[in-house]
Amino acid sequence: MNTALRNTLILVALAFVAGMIFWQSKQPGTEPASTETASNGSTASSTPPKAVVDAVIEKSGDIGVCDAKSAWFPHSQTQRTDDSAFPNSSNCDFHQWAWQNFLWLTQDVDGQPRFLSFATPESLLGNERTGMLPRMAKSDATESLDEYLQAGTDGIFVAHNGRSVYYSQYLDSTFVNFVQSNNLTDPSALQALIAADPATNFPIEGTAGAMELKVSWLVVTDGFDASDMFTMQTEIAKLVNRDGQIVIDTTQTEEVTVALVGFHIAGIVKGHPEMIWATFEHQRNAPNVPVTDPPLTLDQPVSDQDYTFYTAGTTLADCNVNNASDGQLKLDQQTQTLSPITQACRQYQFGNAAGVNTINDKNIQTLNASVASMFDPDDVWKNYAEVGAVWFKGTDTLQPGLSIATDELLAGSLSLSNATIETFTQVASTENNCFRCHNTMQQFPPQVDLQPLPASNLNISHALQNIYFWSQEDAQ
Amino acid sequence: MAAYFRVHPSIAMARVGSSAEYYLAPETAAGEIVDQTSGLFGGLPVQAGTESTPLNAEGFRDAGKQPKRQAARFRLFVYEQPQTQYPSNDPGREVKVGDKIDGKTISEIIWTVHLANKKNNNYTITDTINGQKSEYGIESYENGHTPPVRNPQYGPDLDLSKRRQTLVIDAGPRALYASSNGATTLAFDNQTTPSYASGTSIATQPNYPVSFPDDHFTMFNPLGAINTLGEMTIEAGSGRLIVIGGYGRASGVETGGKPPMLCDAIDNDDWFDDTSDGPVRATVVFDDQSTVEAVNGWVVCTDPGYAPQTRNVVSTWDDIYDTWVRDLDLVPSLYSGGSFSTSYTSAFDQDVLPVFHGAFLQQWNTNLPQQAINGHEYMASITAADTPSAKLPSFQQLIRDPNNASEDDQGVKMPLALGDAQKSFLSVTPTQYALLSQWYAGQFVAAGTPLGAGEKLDRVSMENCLGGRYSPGIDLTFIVRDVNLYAQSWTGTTGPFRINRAELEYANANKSAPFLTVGYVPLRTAPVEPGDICKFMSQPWHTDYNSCATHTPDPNPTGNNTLYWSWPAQRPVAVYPADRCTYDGSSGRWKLGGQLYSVRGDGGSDSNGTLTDYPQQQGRYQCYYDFVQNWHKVGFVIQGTQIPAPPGGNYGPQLFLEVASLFDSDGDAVGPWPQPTIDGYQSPTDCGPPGSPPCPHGQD
Repeated sequence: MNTALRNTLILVALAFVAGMIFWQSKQPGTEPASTETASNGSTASSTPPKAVVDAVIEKSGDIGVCDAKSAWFPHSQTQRTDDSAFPNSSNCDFHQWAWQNFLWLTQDVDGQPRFLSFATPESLLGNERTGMLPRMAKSDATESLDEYLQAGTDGIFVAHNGRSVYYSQYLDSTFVNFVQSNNLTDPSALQALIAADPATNFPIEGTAGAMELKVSWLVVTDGFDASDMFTMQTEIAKLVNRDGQIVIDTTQTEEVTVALVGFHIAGIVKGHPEMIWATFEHQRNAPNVPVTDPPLTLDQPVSDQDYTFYTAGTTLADCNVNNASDGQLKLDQQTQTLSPITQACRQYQFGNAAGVNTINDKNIQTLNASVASMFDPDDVWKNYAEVGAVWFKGTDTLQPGLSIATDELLAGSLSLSNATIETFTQVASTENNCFRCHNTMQQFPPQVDLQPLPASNLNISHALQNIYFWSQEDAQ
Repeated sequence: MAAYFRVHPSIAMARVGSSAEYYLAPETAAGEIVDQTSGLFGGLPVQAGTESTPLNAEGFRDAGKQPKRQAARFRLFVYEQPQTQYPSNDPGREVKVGDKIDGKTISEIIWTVHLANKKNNNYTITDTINGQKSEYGIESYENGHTPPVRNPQYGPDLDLSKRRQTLVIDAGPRALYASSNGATTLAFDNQTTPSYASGTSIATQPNYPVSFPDDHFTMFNPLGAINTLGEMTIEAGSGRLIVIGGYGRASGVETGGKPPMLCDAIDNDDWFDDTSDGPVRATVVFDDQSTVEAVNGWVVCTDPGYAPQTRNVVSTWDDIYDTWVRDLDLVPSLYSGGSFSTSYTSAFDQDVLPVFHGAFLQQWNTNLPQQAINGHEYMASITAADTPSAKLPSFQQLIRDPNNASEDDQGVKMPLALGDAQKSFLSVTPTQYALLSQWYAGQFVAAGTPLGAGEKLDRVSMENCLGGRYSPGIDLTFIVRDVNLYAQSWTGTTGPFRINRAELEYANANKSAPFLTVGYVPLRTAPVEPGDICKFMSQPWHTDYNSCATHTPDPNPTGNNTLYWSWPAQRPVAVYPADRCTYDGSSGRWKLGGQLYSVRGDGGSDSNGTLTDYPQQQGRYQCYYDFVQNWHKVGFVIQGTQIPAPPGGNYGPQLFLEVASLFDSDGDAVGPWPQPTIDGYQSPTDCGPPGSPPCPHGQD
């Protein structure tokens, strides 16, 4: 069994696996609000050109102010959202959903954040996984596991201590129950389900919609102050040089402290089977590329401040450089350090280019501030903030075969990336938000002897795609 | 019916090189596995002096490291049944001097070739329609319209005697007896007396108005004067014709002692290059002194082939075949009455697998994400024994429908490369799509009807050339979609895919007047003269080659900033140099090193010429003139089996690697796809040649 390429397939749905025509999917049911004008007169009148853009994107109830709800705090009392009663009435609703769930997921339960008790995609197949260890493969073939490779471009995000940033994924109980009750770890069962109805969606179980998470972790080494980050001890697999590649060696592990630097939440709510895709980052991760007129040129520095993943004075040209293809990335196996390091910059502060969807961005900005004001000063999670969230403008408009290659269907943060999870794909329009890769097109397997995945609404989840292809590999 | 003769290939490609030496054009198709044991793919040129020995890594350059020219090899075939269908009911057979046909013995074969270059007395490739400047292809010639003329400073009418006399490079005809057997090589220069077949012998024509740029202008010749378009000789032992093209030179007309500017990707007035094309005729002389004129072939000399084994998903063959199927009734069982038949049986080996192999091979000439490579490899693994829908759940989702204009700008369907003529993205031809659709519907056989040996040469020659994106392209261009280019009455003796050759009466040539006319113009019926095919290519070829690495689509779909590929199969963008690979002793296989840009310059930032932070400008010289001076340094991408290596003997069949590059720098780091275009790039205006006027808009 060759598992070398399994995860790379899952990460993106690039164009070879082509999809349906996005404008064919502009069905009836697209929200009327999408054609209405922004209702906030002051916002619209003060920035007329932007208001035109906003009118296409925003809902009528949006005013560019979004507040935390008092019921969310104290953090120890935050309830999970009621996804079956998602109000779906304003842009703010989506960001509030994101923040409320971030608080619930990071809530201390038995001494650790709640999300760490969630199942992993690997565990559904009966594979043990400890901490940052990648899924245990049946073969010792060269591995390219996504725990250290970024989605789409196979890039390694190298922290400034030279260590690779690691990634982990989690599934909530609704997701897990859906997989298990439908026996979807059997690839033939998923095929049958899709054949019966390719428009089958992930469920909302009671009030909890299916949810999947992805988290990025910085390996903390001496001299780095991680006191304002969530940290934990864990075991990670080491990187080795093998056959000209830098790969994970699951037989070599080390105990390290890792700090959480990025957090994706994707979940189903009523009317949005495509999931709301939200992301959070630690506030010291990276500078935002400043919005200037004329725009910052490549030879200009992005910031004069140091960040966790950025050195003051680094030019825009040197930000987010992916050395995955040029052979320049080198690993010192002994020290587990890579070079060159990555200089990360956040291209869009709240996931939108200047002048696009500004009310969305103001909602995030005000909500972040509102939440921050309500945290206990000693709560480490106060140092994290929402970057943005993206979803479909219409309700219940997901259908099989959507490529989602343009923004026509989308609302919220249209160019959303997490600077630690999608560091290298923030600008190119083909991969500059979650839905570019999370779509419902057919998927080809990572190995020629596996079966493809037909187009279906469930393909929106790469976790499920992983399970589909891994289970075939395991059967070999 | 009396036997008749045809020259094959119907169209053959020679390619420029700066060496006096040459190799032969490939006679196997890129993307076709020609040796199941070794896994060798076709498309490799043939070593000169051999029947079919494929070139290896040492064969592309001479001892002085100059890239060799690619020669076209022509053969003479005899047919004894009139052709009634395609493939022909008569497969034909190759003949040579001494063979008996219809009771007569071939006593001699006279090969006549005429090379010319009319690029400067033609229309521009770029046109303005409805206020939009772009490359429109055949549309530029519709409704009586033509694009602006190149070099308008010499007059507005292509038929002006001065234009035809001074702007056309015309070497005139040359003729050789097959029996000369390689002892004689004739140059298409201004020293060799023109000659042609006349009756049973060769006549000379000292009055032919041979024309080269230095005859009329004070020229700036940075690579040497354009004083020849190449040579012709006879392959020893076979009597076949060898046509060798030019040396890759570019020269400019000086004004006031200064060279012209070189600012445009395609149309550069006052510049010449030494590409060419022209008819290849064979006169068969029998022992009874009777003669028969064979159906002629055509030779086209164009850019070097830097990745000869990488098949284009849409090749020139696909465009030519599509034109013949849909417009010239070539295969009525496939297409007639304006529609494709759903009962036609496609052939997996001829109609399906080449498309999948073309996609699979792109990974070696450009950067693709691993998932795309996985997908391509998955498609290439499909066999005729597979149930199509089991391997490919949705054909419609994968392949762009060329019949549905709404899919033209969808950057998710395959092929995912740049289109032409106002189509944002490339699509397979309607005929390819129909044949693939038949396969997907289960209406196919594993192997198609075998082609005759001559037909196979016709097809292979064009399969190794770029199709689909003619802006203007590398080898041939949009004119292959025009039925007026061809001799359309193909049944009987002529056969398909023949250029509609103009009859030229060399006996009437006069030194005081230009011999060639305006010639072929798309959508018009004037027959095709020497130089009429290459004239639709970039002037000089170097600028277009340099430019066409990656671009945004034209028109660019709303919101797109992603760069896509022009012609990676023909113009490598990012490559894997063999000397960056490492050998894994445990597996006994070579492993890839990092990618480099194929065009990457020499030295550091002060002198390199290619380096830039802007992705849309990487992998090319920022100044066209720099590529003119350095084109000969570009390396060649070939299969690992052809690259000797101490461990393992060679690099193996799995890898396609760059060899023989003369660039000494690593250039810019190759960024993984997708790369965006970034605002703010300032195109240089002082690009040279030294002394030339500055480019008013930089490098367009």
